[in-house]
Amino acid sequence: MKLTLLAPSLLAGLVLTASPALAQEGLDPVVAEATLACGESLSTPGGSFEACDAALAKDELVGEDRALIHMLRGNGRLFAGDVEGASADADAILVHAQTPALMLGAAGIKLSVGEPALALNLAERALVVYPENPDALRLKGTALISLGRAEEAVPVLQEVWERAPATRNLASQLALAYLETGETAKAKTVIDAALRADLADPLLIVIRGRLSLDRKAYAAAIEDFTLGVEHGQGQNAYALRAEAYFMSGDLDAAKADLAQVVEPRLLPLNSLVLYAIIMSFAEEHERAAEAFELLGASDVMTPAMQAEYSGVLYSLERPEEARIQAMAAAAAEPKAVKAWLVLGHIAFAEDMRAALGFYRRAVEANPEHYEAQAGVADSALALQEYETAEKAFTAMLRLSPNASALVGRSDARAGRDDLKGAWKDLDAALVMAPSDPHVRAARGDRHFFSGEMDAARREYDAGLALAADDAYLLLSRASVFRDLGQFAAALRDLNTGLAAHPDEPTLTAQKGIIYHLMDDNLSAVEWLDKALALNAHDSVALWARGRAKSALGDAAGGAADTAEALRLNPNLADRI
Amino acid sequence: MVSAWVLAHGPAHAQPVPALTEGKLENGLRYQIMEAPQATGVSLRLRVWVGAQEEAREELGAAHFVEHMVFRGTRGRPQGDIDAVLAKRGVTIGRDHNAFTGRFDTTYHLDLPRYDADDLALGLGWLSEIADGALFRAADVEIERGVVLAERRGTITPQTPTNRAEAAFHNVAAEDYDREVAGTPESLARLDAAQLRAFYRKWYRPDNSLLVIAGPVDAQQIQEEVKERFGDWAATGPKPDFTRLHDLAPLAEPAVLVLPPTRSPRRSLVCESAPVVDRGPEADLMDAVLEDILAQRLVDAIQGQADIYSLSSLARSELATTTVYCISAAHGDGAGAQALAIGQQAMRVLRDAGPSQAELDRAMDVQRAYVRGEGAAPPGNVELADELLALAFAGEPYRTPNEKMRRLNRFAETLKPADVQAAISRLWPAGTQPRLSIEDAQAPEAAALVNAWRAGQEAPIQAPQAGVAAAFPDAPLLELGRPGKVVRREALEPDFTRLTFANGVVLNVKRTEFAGGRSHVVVLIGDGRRGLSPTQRLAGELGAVLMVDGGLERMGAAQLARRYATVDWRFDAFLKDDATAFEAAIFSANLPFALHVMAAYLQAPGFSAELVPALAAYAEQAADVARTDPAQAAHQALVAKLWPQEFEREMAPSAIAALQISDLKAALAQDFSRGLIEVTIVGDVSEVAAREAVAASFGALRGRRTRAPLRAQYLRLSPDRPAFVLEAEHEGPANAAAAELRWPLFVDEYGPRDRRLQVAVLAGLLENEVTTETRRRRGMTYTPDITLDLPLAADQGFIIVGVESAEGDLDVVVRGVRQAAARLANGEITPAMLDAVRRPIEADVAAARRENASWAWLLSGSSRDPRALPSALGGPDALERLTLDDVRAAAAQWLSPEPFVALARPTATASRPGDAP
Repeated sequence: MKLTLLAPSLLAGLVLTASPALAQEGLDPVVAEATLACGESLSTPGGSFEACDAALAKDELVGEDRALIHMLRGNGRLFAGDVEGASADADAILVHAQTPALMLGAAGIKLSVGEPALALNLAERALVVYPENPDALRLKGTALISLGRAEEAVPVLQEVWERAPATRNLASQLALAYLETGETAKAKTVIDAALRADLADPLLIVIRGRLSLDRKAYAAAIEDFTLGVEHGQGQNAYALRAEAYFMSGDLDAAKADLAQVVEPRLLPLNSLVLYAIIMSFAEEHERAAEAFELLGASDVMTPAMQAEYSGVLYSLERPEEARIQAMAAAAAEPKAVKAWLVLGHIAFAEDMRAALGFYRRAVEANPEHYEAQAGVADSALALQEYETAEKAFTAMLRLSPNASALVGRSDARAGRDDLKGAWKDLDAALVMAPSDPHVRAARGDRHFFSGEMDAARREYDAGLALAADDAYLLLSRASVFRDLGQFAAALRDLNTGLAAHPDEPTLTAQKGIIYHLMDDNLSAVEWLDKALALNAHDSVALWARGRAKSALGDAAGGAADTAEALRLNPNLADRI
Repeated sequence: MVSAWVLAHGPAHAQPVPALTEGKLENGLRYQIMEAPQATGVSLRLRVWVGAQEEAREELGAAHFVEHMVFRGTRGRPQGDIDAVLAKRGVTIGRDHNAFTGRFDTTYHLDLPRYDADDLALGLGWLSEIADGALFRAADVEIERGVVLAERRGTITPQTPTNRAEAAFHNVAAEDYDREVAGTPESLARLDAAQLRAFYRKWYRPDNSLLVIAGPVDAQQIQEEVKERFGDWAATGPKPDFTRLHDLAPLAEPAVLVLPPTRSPRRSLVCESAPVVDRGPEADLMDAVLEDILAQRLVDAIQGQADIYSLSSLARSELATTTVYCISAAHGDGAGAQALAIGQQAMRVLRDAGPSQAELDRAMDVQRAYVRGEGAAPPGNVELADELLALAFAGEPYRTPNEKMRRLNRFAETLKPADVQAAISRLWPAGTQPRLSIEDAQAPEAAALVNAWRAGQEAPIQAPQAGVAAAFPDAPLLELGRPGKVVRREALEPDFTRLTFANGVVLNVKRTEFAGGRSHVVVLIGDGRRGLSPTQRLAGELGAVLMVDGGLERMGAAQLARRYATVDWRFDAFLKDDATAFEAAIFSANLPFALHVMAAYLQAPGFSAELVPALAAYAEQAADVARTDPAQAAHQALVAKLWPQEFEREMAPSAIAALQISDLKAALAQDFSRGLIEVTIVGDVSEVAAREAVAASFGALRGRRTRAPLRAQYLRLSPDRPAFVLEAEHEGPANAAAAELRWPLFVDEYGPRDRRLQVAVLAGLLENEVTTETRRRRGMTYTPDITLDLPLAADQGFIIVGVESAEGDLDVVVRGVRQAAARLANGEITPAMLDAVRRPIEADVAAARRENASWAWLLSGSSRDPRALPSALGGPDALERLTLDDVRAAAAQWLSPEPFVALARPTATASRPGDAP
């Protein structure tokens, strides 16, 4: 993001502030012209660095003069969002000259690009020459705060506050230091005093916002952070406002603010944690993972953060990394539910029994965790441990009554041959979510498995009236038509589904199967080829293609497909 | 939800896929060679694209005449002995070797019963002779002229003028319509050898011909042979242009033709004409869908109309710039106008409101069922060759059943009701004026008919009918008891088992691999004719034939046809001498349903009112044929003389006319209620599957009162009865005459197989000799009809000769028949003559042993009379053992006596319908 809204006068002021020598010493006319051109170009809205680049192309520009141009361009780049370029210019300043003023200028840039230790060093070197320079002291204090050494910053800044309270940005930095040391009352005192003396700057307002945030006065906080955003406080203000929004329950607004954060690594750690968590919540997994990686590098990851990180990695389909983070989190903190869930999710696809074990650990860690109960319910259902599944679904319904859990429990009950109970749940689900097509799908499925084709068809019809393109419902109704021998109608549903979901492998495979049943084995092979290109592990599609190939006289091809189908699914022959 | 589909599906059958090689010789001859490894014989076809359409007015009938002349003599076979040569290779003349002339083509067919390189070379050589070797000797032309005239005479009936007038009115401009394949008496009398030769040279040319070969051949090898045999065939002169098709002029107002009421049932037509348009590559599929939907609509439309028997569409007829599409009604007197009005309304409803999706689905399912039927059993060489010819005619490429199914489904993927609506709108456009022909003794005036039609065009259309599927809910056709138990199992042969159920039903089951997925079913019930009183036999015979069309008590035949449009449910039923028989060729997977339907018919046949018009039409037709068909007149006169009582009860038109539907039902009910039920199933079906299907159908019926089979009541004629010659009259074509000659055979019941074979061979010898005598030498007949009436389990049969000729030739022809018989009786039988009869019989027997139907009939009845079984299951080949002396002895024994003869000549009345010369 470029800070193009920054007022040119502010930029010019900054240059002058950062360059005390400039105002005091006479300059070579050529140098002065080049310098002036560089400065003016930076002061112009939408200006470029061409004038600065041209000046730096002059070989006669050396020493402090050259350093000055670098300082100007570095600040310009900083405000243009070019952090790397700004940092390079700061380094160049120090190559060409190391006067106190230039060192302070370089320190200011380094502080802004996230190198507070170097900034502190430069400030302290300047203070050796000018021990009482308020700007140098303010820079030192700011650097200390950035380095997490707010306790040391407080006396430095307090001393300047008493001596030269009008020093630029001083009040805000002191308030910040108090805030960081937990002396919120003193912070508030400084803020109030600065406001009375008209010494407030945008950062101060942001800090006031932080105080409000601590008091859970989210509206006031948001108001201050908004002022900060509007007055160039950049991604920190956005991150803070995002926190306020997040805490007040407005995830979308929080997410929108965090989208303005282009350099998470420049955020304070607290904001970075929050950034990672909100991004995770908002399912911005890539950005969340980046933040968690920064936190990991800072060695500040807690088991809870590791667990959250594992979830993010799982969502990014990086299961091995997710497993490592989750295992570490669970080992460090057995009550890290998220970690057990991630382990359960990873195991779900490969080892349902193991998945159930992990989900059970999640439930043990927190029986009131909905997702943990859901994990147990789903895996137990898949393992046909219907009693366990039913209990878990019941727990889910206690935690958060919803149609989906009712549908799940109906499956569990049906598995226990409690059809009455199953239908009770399905009826309740329909009452609870009459517009949920998946409830209709579940009711249709129940009829289908009971061989009640007409009733199944009615439910699927009702579901498709709610969601005409729903792939599962279309597939299900096609299955009814298929079993009734109404292949043309089945194909119509599959075609509708494929029009909406062109590469849906199950619909594609089912179309091939229908063609096989219609004795159109050329079309069957054509569609099953497509289906297997989309999902090579579909053993039923392989089996069907084997039959179709055999019927076409390709005995070898048919046998190969059949063998592969049985290799993928040894129980297939029993199943069909 | 994936499991059910496989559970319901049996193992996948793979059929060998025929491979087609197509090419063209340098002289322009196109050829198609179908390699069909599964075929047993080789079929050859030579098609020349010339027919009646290309004949000038003075040469009408020339294409057909030329076709005849080819068999009279060619360069390589000047004696015209190809039939005799082929017969020695097992080729049956008429069936395996024949030729057909149509309006646009002449096609020569030769089906060799087995693949043999020498036979194939002979066949190809013969076709090359046809191509450019015909001789057209003047003497031959004169003799064959009589044959061509005799063939034409055989096509003339009292209804012929009506048919011609109708066709002329609807199909082409009336003044041009005289292109009958058979020609006219005048043109046939005029055509001479030079004209025929010129016609032949003009049109029989390689660039106007197609050669088709199908069988277990090597295409590469055959291609070389084709090149060798046909490469020298040279065309004479430039390729002639085809005659432009006649056309229909658009009408400003409906045109009406009132036809005399000569046909039974009456037939009225309404035809619309529309411009020919390019209908795209799937036009044939659209036609099929449209036909099916329309057929159902029309059947629905006449429900409750007692005097309208059927309403159907005729195949589209494409002329030069117009397409003609007709609705045809079969009806009684007084109902013609109403039938046409109903057809008009049905067409308008379909055109203006379109079909439903259910109708579309059904129509496509019907098409799929056809293709599935084709794919279930590998096609034989004959079927493949004929399919290639049909495709060549339609300009369609050959497709395997798999390719056809895929094409169907791709068509179905995009087919919408609106497409069908658009198609019918193109064929039956709004606002055009139709041609109406009405055959009705009570026909309204033409003006009244036109006014009624116009009113019908203006009338609001009725709402489209409800969906098809909803009309007929699933219900069992018959409530049956629990599946029957098997109480006895006899393994009679490795693949032949007999099971007896507790209720007495017997199942013969034989597993074969002749046709993948197919089976043949024969069910014998009761005692047949023998079990019926003499007064019930006619009713029983007609009842059996009409029974299926009479539906079931629970569901009429029309409903059955619609409800089960895509599965086998129809079967044939007929009254045999010793049982009522049900017969069906079905998909084995459909066996349970097929047997259920048969059992339902056995238990609760409907004999609904639907049959009343059919029975009335049958009676009227029977009376008409008896009166006007010379051969039938001779036959009936002879029967009436020999067995007057039986004739009066079973054959006389008055007896048929007196029958009521209730008589049919009563007669069959008597036969159905008692006696053994024997089910024979032969085909690609396991014993278990057959047993379960029978257990759930016939096996689940209540036990029946059984008794020993009734014995035959023959002798029907005393050996001492003196011969006679009987004169009869007919009211048919003015100069047509016919004769029937009967030689009685007295054989023992289930007599030695050798003896039965002797008379079979004797009949074949007599057929060849009579044909040679009356057709080839004298040119006075077309196809003498020699029948061997030799029922099993009877002790008397006949050799029957039927001949038709011009009235003036009849005595000569009959004398020729007698002379032929006398020569045989005198022992004038050479080994070559014997071979010419024996080899085709051998080929037939070999073919029969590869057919489910033959086996089913062989095994049927074997539980009733064990003596049938040894002969059914084979044994030493008696045919091969048959000697010349055996045959000479048989000829002397059976043909020496004078035959019973009836001669039918036209009555002396003045000219009658039909213009036979």
